[in-house]
Amino acid sequence: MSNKLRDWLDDRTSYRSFLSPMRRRLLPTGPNWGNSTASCLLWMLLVVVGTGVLMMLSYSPSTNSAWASVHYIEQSPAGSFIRGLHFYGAQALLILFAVHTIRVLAVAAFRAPHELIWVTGLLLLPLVVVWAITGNPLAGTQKGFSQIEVEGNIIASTPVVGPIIQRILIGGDQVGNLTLTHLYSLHVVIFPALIGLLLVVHISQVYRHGLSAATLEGGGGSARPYWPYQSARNMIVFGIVFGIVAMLAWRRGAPLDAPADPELSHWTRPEWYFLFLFELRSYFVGQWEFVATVVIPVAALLLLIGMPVIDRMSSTRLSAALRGLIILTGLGGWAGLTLASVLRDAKDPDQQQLIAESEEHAGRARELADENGIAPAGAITLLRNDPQTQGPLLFQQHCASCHPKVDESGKGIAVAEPSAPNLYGFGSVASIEAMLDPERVASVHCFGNTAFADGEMVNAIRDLHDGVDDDGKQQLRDQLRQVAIALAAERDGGDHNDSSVAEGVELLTGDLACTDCHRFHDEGDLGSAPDLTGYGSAEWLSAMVANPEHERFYPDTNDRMPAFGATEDDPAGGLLTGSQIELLVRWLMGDGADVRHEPTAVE
Amino acid sequence: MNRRSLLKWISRAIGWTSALVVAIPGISFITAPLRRRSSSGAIDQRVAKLANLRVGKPMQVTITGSRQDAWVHYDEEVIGRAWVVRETDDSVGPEETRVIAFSAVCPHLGCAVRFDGERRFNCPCHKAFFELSGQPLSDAELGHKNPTPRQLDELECQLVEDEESGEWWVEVKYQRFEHGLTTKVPRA
Repeated sequence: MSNKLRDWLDDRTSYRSFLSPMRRRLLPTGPNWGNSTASCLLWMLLVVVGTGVLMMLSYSPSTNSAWASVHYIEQSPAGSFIRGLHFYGAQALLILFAVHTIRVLAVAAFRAPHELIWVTGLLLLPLVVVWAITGNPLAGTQKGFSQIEVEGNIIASTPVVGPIIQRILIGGDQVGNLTLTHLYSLHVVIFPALIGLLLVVHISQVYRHGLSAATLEGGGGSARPYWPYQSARNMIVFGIVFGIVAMLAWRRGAPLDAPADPELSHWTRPEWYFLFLFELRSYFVGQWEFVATVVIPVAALLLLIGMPVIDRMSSTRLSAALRGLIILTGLGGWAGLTLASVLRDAKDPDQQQLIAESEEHAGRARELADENGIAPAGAITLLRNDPQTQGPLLFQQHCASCHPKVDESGKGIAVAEPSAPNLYGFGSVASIEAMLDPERVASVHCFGNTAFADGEMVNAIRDLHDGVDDDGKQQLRDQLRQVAIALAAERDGGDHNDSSVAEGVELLTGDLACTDCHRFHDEGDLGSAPDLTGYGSAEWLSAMVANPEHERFYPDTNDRMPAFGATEDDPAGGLLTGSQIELLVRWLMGDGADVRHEPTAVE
Repeated sequence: MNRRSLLKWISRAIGWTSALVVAIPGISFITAPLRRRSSSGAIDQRVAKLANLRVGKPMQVTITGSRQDAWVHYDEEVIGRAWVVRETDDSVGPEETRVIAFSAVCPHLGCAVRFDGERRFNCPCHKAFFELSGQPLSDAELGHKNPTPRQLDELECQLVEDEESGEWWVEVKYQRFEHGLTTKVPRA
C-alpha cells in the first residue's frame, strides 16, 4: 500500500494510534522465553477457531447426519488434516493453558494491579475445558454420545440445579438430536463468545498495566522493543508447538469412532485431560459424588482466584511456599490420578477387549462408508446391516450358550461347555467330512454333547465302517469325501452336471443310502432326518434357525434348539427378526473367516 | 417530571420491554425439555420363553417400542435392555418357577451392565459388580470400591402362559430409574 493511501486510512480511522501500543511496546529488561506462553495460546486459539469455521462449512448436527458429515469432511481434500489440526490444536491449547497458568502462579504475576488479568484468566480455564468437551460428541460417535451421557449424569449429581441443567442440555431424557443442536450452539457460538469477551478484558488489562515486574525479571537484559525481540521468541515457541500439532494432524489425523447406536452396548472413558476427574469420582460414591465433580474443582478454582488476597496477607516466603505447594499438589494430583486410571485399564484384559471391539467397529464403519456410501437413514445403518458386525453379536447372545464357532486352532467364539455342534465352516467339505467320520461324528464338535450322541446318524456312520478292512476304509473315505463335496455344493445351488458333484450325488442316493433317512431333492422322505436339499445354503440355514421343528428338520426329535423366527404356532414370536436371522446366517456362511474375536479358554 | 427525565424514562422503558419480549419467550424456548415429559412410562413386554432360560445363565433381552427424538419418530426401536435370571430349574412347574429381571442400565451412571459369562454382572464404565441376585459386591470382595449406590434395579416380572401355544413367557414391566441415588426412583 502506498504511503498516501495509509495516510488517508489513518486520517479516517486513526488505526496507527490503535496499533501503536503494540508497535512501541517496550520491554524494560529485554525479551524472555517464558513470556511466550501467552502469545502461543492466542495463536493456537486462532488455529482452532479457523479450522472450526472451515469444518462448519460441511458439518451438519443431527443424529442422522453428524457422523456422515464428519466422515465426509474426512474424505474431502485436506479435510482430514483440517480436522486433525482442530483436534490436536484444542489439546495443545489446554496444555499451553496449564503451562501459562503455572508460570503466572510461579512468578506471582497476579500481584496488584494485575488481579483482573489473573481472575479473567482463571475463569477462562474451565470455559476452555468445557468448550473442548462440547466438541467431542459432535461427530455423532458412539464414544462421543456415551461421554455426553455420562457427563450429563455427572451434572445431574449436583444437588438441586443439576437435574434441571442436565435435562435442558441433553434436551430431554435421552441423548439425541437436541443434544447435538445444543452442543453445537454452545461449541460454535456461546462458548467462543464468552471466551472472546473474557479475552478482551484479559488482554486489554495487560496493555493497560503492562507486564508485571515479576514477569519482567526473567529478562535480565537491557531494554528492548517487544517487536521483534519478544515476538521472534514467541513465534519460535509457537512454531515448535504448531509443528507438533500439524505433524500429528498429518500423520495420525483425528480419530473417528463408530457411529452412535443405542443398540450397541456402550461404555466410555473421558478424554485424557479429564481422566483425573473420572478417577477422583471413584473415591466418592453415591450422593457424595458431587464432592469430586463440583466441590473440589470449584474450591480449587476459588483458592486460585483468591491468591492475590492470600499473597498480600502472607510474608514473601510463606507466599512462595504456598504457591510451590499448590503447583506441586495440582500437577502431582493430576498426574497421579491420570496415571492410576490409565494403569488400571491397561491391567484389565476386559477393558482391553472392549477397546479392541470399539476400534474394530469404528474401522468397519469407515470401511463400509467408503465402499458403499451412507444411506439416507444415516450412518447408524452401516453397522446395523453388516453381517460381519452383527453376526458375532447375535451369535454370542443367542447361540453361544450351546454352539461354539471355533476353527482348528481354537480361534473364534468358544463355549466353556459346548452342548451343540461347532458351527465353524458349517456346510463346508471339511465340516461334512467330520460328520461322516466315525471317529469324529460323536466328538464335542459334532453330536458329542447332544441328544444325538448315540443317535441314528452316529450309529449309521459307525455301522458303515464296521468290519471294513483298511483298503475298504480308504475307499469308503474317498466315497464319503465325494458325498461331502456334493453336499457342500448345495450351498450354492448344487450343480449336478459337475462331474465331481454328480459322483457324490450318486453315492448318497445310491450305495451309501443316505436318502433312506434324509430327503435329497427328489429322493427320500421328510420327517426322520433333516432335508439335505440345499444343505447349508442361506435359505436352509435361515429356515433351520427360524424353526428347527419344521418338518424339513427335526419335527419330532429336536434336542433343545429354540425356534428363533416366527412359526406357524407363533406367527408374531421368535427371538430374532427375519433380518436378524439373515445377518446371522450371512455371517455364518462367511467361510468362517473369523479372527475377529480373541479365543477364550476352551476345555 | 421534567422533559429530560421523561425522555430517559421512555428510553429505558422501551429498551427493557423489548429485551423482555425477547428474553421471556427465549427462556421458555430453552427450558422446553423440562416440560416435555418422556412419552413412555412403564412398558409391559414379553421378552423370553421360559423354556429358553437356564439356571445360572442370565439372558439379555431387548425392549422395543416407539421413541420420539425431537423431530424424528422411531416406530420400532430398541428402547431398553434387561437381564432375565432364572432361579429355579424344571424340577418345579412353571407356576412355582422363580424368574427375576433387572434393568441393564447401571444404577450408578447409566452404562450398560454386562454378564461376565460366569457368575456376576459388571459395568465396564466404573467397574461396578453385582451378584446374579442383583446385590452389589462388597468393597472387600472386589478389592476396590464398588461405585454403585444401590443394587441393580429389579423390574417387575411375571410368567404368563400364551393362550394359543400354551408356552410360558417371561413378561417384564420395563421402566427407567434415576441414576446415582441410593434408592430406586422411577424416572418421571
